[in-house]
Amino acid sequence: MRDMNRFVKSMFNLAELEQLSRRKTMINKWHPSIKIIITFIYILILTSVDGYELGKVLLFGVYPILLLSIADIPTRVIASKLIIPAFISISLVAFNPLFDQEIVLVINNIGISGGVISLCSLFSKSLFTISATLILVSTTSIEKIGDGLRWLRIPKKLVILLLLVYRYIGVLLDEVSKTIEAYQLRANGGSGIHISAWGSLVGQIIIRSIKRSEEIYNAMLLRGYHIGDEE
Amino acid sequence: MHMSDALLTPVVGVTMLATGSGTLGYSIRSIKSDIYEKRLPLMGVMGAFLFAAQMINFSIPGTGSSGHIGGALLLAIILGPYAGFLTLATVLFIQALFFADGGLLALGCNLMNMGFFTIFLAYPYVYKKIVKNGLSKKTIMIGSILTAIIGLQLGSLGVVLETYLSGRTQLPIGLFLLFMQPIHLAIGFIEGIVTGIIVNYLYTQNPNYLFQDEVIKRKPIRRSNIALILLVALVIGGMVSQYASSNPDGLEWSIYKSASASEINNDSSVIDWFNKTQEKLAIMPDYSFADDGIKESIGTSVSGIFGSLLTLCLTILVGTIIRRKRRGNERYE
Repeated sequence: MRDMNRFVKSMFNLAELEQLSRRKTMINKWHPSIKIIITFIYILILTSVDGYELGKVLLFGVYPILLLSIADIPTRVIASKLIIPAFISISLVAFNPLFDQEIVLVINNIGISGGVISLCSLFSKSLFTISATLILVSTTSIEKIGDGLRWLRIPKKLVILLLLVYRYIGVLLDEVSKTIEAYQLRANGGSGIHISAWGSLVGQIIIRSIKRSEEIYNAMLLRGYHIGDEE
Repeated sequence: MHMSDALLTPVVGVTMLATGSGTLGYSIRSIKSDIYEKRLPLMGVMGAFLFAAQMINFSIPGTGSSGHIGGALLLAIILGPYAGFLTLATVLFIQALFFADGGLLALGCNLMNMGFFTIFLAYPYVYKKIVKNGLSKKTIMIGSILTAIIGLQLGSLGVVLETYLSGRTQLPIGLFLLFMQPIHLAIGFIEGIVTGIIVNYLYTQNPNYLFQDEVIKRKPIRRSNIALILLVALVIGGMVSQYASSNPDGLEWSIYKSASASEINNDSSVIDWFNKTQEKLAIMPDYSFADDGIKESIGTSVSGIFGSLLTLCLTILVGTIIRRKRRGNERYE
């Protein structure tokens, strides 16, 4: 049942971000494309800082901290989605302290190696880039992000697909969670789905999804759906 | 296998973003509008399915562990390469924005590593070749396993190269490859088997569930546009990294340039007195510790880090005041 909690949790978090994005704070009212551009430039400049310059990297924390306060986003919401991904994202450089043992800092006779400094700075970078992105989505609804992307000349076909995928995440998560719950109640323990059920369990979800998409297509047609050649 | 923004430099990130955007543009042009319209709902639902599928744990026989699928190959087999790639792109974008998996700058890298290699190299040149002489349970299974392995090997090679070129890891490249490639060999094998079993099930239910090749009339791509995007990406990336790696502080640098001296001489006795007093009082004179407990040569970075931490604490304080004030105002409104 551990999986169930993850489903519910991730769904809940998505809803939580969406609720935040629909408020009317100062930052929520900014044009979405401006917010997308600012976030991207922030990430661009932050990632260009050298891995050993921990001091400079830490200064970049001012931006997310201030924005969190101005947009009045509960720190709990961001923190719950931030810490674990930040740790996972730096797993590729987790060995830096082993390979760079040259002492670059000595504080009260305790030596700190270059590897530790670079790991700390990468972790901080990770925290800041992820928070900047989370702040963007917690102050901008998905429809507004779509608007912003259109303004930035991203093709209409891609933006509609983005909105469609986003909208159906909740539906599919619900469907998959129900299917897995039904499986687990009959599976007599064990972790994960047994190989004998891989095809039928996932295959059935896909077939249901294909049928669902046909219904959606008909519903869209009835409401005058037409993309056209515009890009 | 998602790469995060923190592991990249702007040059690598933006170049890969430009390459990813080029491939996206190519994919959009490759599907005719009326076919796209018809297939869009299926693409949307399959994209959402891919999210949900990340949560399904497949228990791996004989190991006691379990894992989930990446799904790029499954998308290509069900939706075809172009629609599959577009769907994967939106999934990666949503993951980067809402699930802190990947990142905006790393989007191009992830798109190429997890999508391009499997969908545009392994799928047409391995899977399609194997199933060319007739779809059967056997060819589907062999095709899926080989395609997934090759796609993932190329993808993890991409991750290693992009991280290495960004210079954010101190792991020697040989060791990095030795660490990444065998793991992804195993992951690719499992992914191939899972995909093969699922595709086989769909095939036995109704072969029409799998993507059927169609004649594609592609609009010509404006190559000059792609070249322009790449050029702009390189220039911007280069400029930004130059800006950030310039050693002198901006103000000091401009003074140095205009006064042709690293520090301006002051003859005034008042200024001299202030300087001496400041040196006595400051714990970090000219960004290095006054105390001898810390090596002189590294003083700059120590004071830099402490200064930044102090700034962050001040910012948190200011943030808290802003929040308190707003809540106070709301109470009176």
